[in-house]
Amino acid sequence: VKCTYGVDLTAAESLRLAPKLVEWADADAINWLGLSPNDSRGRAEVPDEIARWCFNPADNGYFLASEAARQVVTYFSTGLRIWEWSTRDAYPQAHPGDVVTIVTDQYTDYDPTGQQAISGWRAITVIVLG
Amino acid sequence: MPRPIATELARCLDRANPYVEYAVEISAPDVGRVLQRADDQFLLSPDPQVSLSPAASLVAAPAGGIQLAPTVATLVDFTGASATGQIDINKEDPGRRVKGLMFQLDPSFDQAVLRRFSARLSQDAVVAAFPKFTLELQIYRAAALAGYLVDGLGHRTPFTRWDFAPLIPSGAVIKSDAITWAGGGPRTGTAVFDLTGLGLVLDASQEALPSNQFNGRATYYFSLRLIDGRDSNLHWLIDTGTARSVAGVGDFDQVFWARSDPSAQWSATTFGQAPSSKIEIETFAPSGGFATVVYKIDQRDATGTLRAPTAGTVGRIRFDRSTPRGSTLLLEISSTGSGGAYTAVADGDVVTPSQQTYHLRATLTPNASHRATPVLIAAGVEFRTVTDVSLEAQTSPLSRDVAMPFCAATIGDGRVKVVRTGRRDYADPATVLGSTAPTTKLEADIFLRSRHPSVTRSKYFRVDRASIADRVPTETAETFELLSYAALLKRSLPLPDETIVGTLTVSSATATAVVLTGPLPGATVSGNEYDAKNYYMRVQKSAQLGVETGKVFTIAGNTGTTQLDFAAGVLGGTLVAGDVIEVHSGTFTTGRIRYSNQDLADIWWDLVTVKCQVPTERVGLGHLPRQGLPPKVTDIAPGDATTQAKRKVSIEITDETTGDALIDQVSFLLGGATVEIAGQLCFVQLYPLRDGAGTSRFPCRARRGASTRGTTSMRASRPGSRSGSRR
Repeated sequence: VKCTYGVDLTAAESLRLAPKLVEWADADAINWLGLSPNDSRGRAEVPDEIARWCFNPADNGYFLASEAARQVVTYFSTGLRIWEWSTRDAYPQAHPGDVVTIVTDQYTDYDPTGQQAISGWRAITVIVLG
Repeated sequence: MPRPIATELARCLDRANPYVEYAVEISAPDVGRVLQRADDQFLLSPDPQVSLSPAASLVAAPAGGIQLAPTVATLVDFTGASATGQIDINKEDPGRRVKGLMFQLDPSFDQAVLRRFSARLSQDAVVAAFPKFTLELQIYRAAALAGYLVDGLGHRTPFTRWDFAPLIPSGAVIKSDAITWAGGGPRTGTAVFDLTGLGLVLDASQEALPSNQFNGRATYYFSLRLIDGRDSNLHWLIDTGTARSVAGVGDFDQVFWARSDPSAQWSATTFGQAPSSKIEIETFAPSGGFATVVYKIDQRDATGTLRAPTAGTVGRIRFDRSTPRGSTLLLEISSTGSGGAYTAVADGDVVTPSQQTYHLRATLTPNASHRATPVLIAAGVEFRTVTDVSLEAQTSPLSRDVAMPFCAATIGDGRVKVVRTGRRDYADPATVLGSTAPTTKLEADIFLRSRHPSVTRSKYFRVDRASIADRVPTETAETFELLSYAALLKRSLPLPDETIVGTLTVSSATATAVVLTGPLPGATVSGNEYDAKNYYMRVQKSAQLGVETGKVFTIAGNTGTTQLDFAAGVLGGTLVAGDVIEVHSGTFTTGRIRYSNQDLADIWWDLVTVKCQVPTERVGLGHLPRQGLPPKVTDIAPGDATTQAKRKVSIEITDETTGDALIDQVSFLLGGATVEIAGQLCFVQLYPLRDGAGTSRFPCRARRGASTRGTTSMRASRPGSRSGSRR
């Protein structure tokens, strides 16, 4: 995931520098997916509307842009996993942002970083989105 | 964390229960004041807190609200270090092996909030050096489910299904450089995991089914795992001398849970010794046994103006709290000043008499062991004109969700269909609401209630509070369209800038001239900048007839920097000294939003409350981290000015967009989303944030005693599951 940064939108247009680019990659995921470093597949970009916020006098916005890309890579480098499920009991108190644990044997996956197959009974921590 | 729900109502929800239903109130808000965040207590001016006894006995709860101030106490400390045994810490697969310290809670142990966990380690030297490593602490709660495995021929084998629910979503991590070491080969040190603010609660009521390996008591495992470094080089020391049973606390042991593959059954091995560790918890013991705080509550209308309630409106108590077992929280109200007399009240109680100012007194008492504190989440009084339509309503609550990975939140909608029940006189609630109330000033409160006698009004759960955007009358019903308060953010930004605008006070005036105390915007000493431009003056405050508040007059020109000139006969009267007027050009240029090196949390607040003009009482929610407000740079990287500076932003936005889009963008950079919960706009954390050293500072919070109750429903929704019946 790449993110541009370093454009001072508070400066006059003639004084603005060209955007710089920071890119985060999950080397384990790339290796596992069999992608070459120049492969266009699996690449994503932080939208320009978000990237334009990445500027400050301290480091031109490098840290912010880097964190924006990193947080997406850390959790979604091998794909965006959104599960829909219904609970037997009602949980009207749950809302977006809640962290819950679901236990299931219905999910298989592979963690390329830990080089572990994920299968069988697992307690999996998820965040409620809606 | 989820919103608190009354235990009695939660029990009614545990199974199909015909007595649980929606309750719907449609109301027109009048005045109110609800203290619902630490910010209300500590930042409001004037501070609503009148008195606190003992002093400094309350603090802002990590998860929001106000709680008793904690001190740190050692629950158990295994200090020994056996010369013959130790645990190898490797890069274990937690799906196949969980090893570490088992803590089986005594049934008389109620609960405790974890503050710190320390593990004593030793590390071997490799070629006269110590390899660097990263260590992860995970705390699991064990749960055992009994059932049967069913093979393809229908044969059933009894089994006990073990689940290990992790309580720390992303694990607590420490690096070797952060540990103070002693000795040279091997060296020893203590890894201290600071769990402050994570809200990790060891709860003796979280029991599981007993089995041949498990007595059913609530059990937690403190497990260390290497996530970076060299296997078989790092060890957890073992204490074989200290008593492993502590009266009133529980039993401790070293345990290995293992299984050959993820589909196999777990099997436990215990060792009759304890990994050398220390568990520290929070205790709550105010001098005198309890803390009492008194707040002054002034009623304010939607514009923030102090005002007495309108006759005919109903005042109700808002009282949201969390009271773990054994702790108590008493709320009392006085209508005769801070000295009382005070009357105990519950959430939803009607307040009499109706007046502008009340005093609320809250008494917070910990449980007998001083390990649980009550939390005051919200307290206040709200006046509204309420119509209860529960009997006639068919309810569709608001929908809400967040689109990942860039955290864009939707604006939910819903509806309440109120059936007409008046056959002849049309005096039923639906018809009266539809024909007499201005629709867009109405709000709908949707509660979950039970008709069980133990679920009183104060135990109803507020599912939604939404504005009514429209109504659709039909022959048989009025359908009220509900819109989330997040719609307030759907404002076109940046607002266009007016070239000339200012508010000025009148110094003197004649029938054709108004002299002002301050300089006119855009005027110079030579004057005439306003001449023939059709600029206008709007009267903001005057008691003079003909020039009353709100009237608008065309300006003919200006003389110097302080005098406005008007054509004869334009002004309907003569302004007097002290009157307040506005000058406007009526000409607009493209607006801009500009922030210079500012904290994103401050930008979020400015966008929500200033640019989108959301009333501050609609922002934040007491039970959420930082009360539902985004973390500031000082929260994310405390004491690290360099990283704090790197997390600030300079930007200027001139292209037209909407407020909710800007807030979504800022929220993503803060690792979360801005969502509406029960009528409140809140920031919720979705991604953990990191400080300059790479440590997660705002991990998403685990709910208390992470639940596995959703398990069976997921299995049930998937036909063909290998597991069969369950007790």
